[in-house]
Amino acid sequence: MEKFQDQFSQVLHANLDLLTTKCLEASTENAHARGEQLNAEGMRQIVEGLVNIIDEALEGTSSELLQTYLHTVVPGLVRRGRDAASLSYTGVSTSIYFAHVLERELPPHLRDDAIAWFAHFFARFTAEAVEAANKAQGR
Amino acid sequence: MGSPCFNEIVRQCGLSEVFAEDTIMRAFERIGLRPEQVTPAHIPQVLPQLERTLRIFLPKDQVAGRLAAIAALATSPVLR
Repeated sequence: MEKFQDQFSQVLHANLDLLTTKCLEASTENAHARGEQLNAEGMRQIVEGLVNIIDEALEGTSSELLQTYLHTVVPGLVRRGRDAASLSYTGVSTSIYFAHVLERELPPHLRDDAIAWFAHFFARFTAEAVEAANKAQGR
Repeated sequence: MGSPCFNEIVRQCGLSEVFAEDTIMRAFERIGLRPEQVTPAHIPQVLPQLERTLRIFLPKDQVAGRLAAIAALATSPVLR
């Protein structure tokens, strides 16, 4: 049986520009956001990092990239005024954009497994990001 | 709070200022150094860790150039 992992990764890497634009919009419209907005280059790096974390999770052999992200990007965002509510807002909207791209571009026979995997991955990721934000805020 | 060398690496790394300092700090922590301890002599030692870190966030075609700029700081007379 064909597995979804390879095409999953290809679809996300091929749509980095679109996903960056959508995440930037989500960040701009984030009613919980405080402090300065991320610029396009910064958001591109954050999205590229997220896609690489997804690759790492698809391989399932390490969480080094995830840990780096949680210990660098999240505290940086917190210092610029983001909090757990703000990261949750952006996380939910980001996950829907990602899922939409996957649903649109993956072959039909891979979609169910891919979306099920992604839903659980992103829920875990958002929970860990919220935990890291609270820790960075000293809560 | 970092040494002049550490601060220059942060400037040269190409990462967003939102998370550049934390990211470079984490790379040096992996080799047992705090930001204020970093000197040009430590750069060759940290380059493999920095490469892994930059590859997370930067497009692949930008990583080599950023690493070369950081490697050049090891012999920079200004930082000695």
